[in-house]
Amino acid sequence: MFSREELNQLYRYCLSLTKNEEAAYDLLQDGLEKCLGRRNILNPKGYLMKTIRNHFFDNMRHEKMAREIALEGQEPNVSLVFDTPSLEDILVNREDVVSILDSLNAAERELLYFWAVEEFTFQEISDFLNVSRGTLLSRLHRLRKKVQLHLSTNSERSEKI
Amino acid sequence: MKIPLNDALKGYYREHSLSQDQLEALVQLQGHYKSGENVNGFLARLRAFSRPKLIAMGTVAGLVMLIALASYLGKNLSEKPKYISLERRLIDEIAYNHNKRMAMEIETTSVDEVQAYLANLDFTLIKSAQLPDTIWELRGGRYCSLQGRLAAQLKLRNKKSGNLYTLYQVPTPPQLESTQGVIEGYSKGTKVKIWTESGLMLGLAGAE
Repeated sequence: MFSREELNQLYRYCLSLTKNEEAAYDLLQDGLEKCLGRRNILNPKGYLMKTIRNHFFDNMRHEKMAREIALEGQEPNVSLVFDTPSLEDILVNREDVVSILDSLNAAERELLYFWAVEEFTFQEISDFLNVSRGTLLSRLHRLRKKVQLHLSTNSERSEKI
Repeated sequence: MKIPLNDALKGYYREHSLSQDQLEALVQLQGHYKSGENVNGFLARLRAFSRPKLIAMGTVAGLVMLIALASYLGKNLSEKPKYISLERRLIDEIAYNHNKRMAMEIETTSVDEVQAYLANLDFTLIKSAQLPDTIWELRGGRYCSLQGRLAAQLKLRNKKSGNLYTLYQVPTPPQLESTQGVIEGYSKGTKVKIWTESGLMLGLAGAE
């Protein structure tokens, strides 16, 4: 059984995927119903998160929103000589968060959620997503650039006004 | 003032939480299932014991189990196992949910509005012929589950008595498809009526 606090954590994970509160609750309820009744799960929260993730991306495929899906297996493996992406360097105003999340797709929002809120290590993220560390670092690098570009574009717009 | 992106994200997500009603619904949904947590908790406690203690406890437990098994076999071998019918389980579950007195997620007198709000239901709500508008007034609805199946929970008010009742609607379980008439029962002092209508199973719980 998940505690109220865990249910809220799982809800926020769903929100990172759906960007919509009602859809996040529905996704959590669907995921919970799929998981309940299963026995001997060693990591119930991790199992439910994977169930939620699979359910969400399966639905998106069915709704033909393929542009939002991370293209697993189609990204080049980036050498680790590459500079390690550091999202920690990025400073923002609180009010920037909504526009940043609006500019990202579900997989990117999920990545930020794992890094910032769940505080997963890179290894934990790559294990959960079942991707290589190189693929993960590549995605994180692109994500950092995308966030930085969004912030600088918004900053230029504000100066012009 | 600018703050690190991760702190800003943490703050953003912390501002979003499930409502009390949503939390209660999910807690209740879990309440009908046993989870692996009990097994894991037991295993964790087991690992905390030292080996000699474990062996001693295992020996005592084994002896107790042998005695209990011998006693059980002697007493019950010829008896049929207890069987709890689906009707009984439904009556207990409907009464249990009714007595939780959970707030409606939508307050309205319109079935169409409830249907629109409960968008995840895979069936169409009905106005039951057993509950005419002259006597019964809809007050609202919420999600719930019955025997693991997503269901609608509607709040009804009896205009004559002023009492509130809870009406459940869910697709008819296969075992009840040939049910005729109304099944009545009590659970924890709450009267429950179950019947099938237009492909749905309806359950009404409330005062006499």
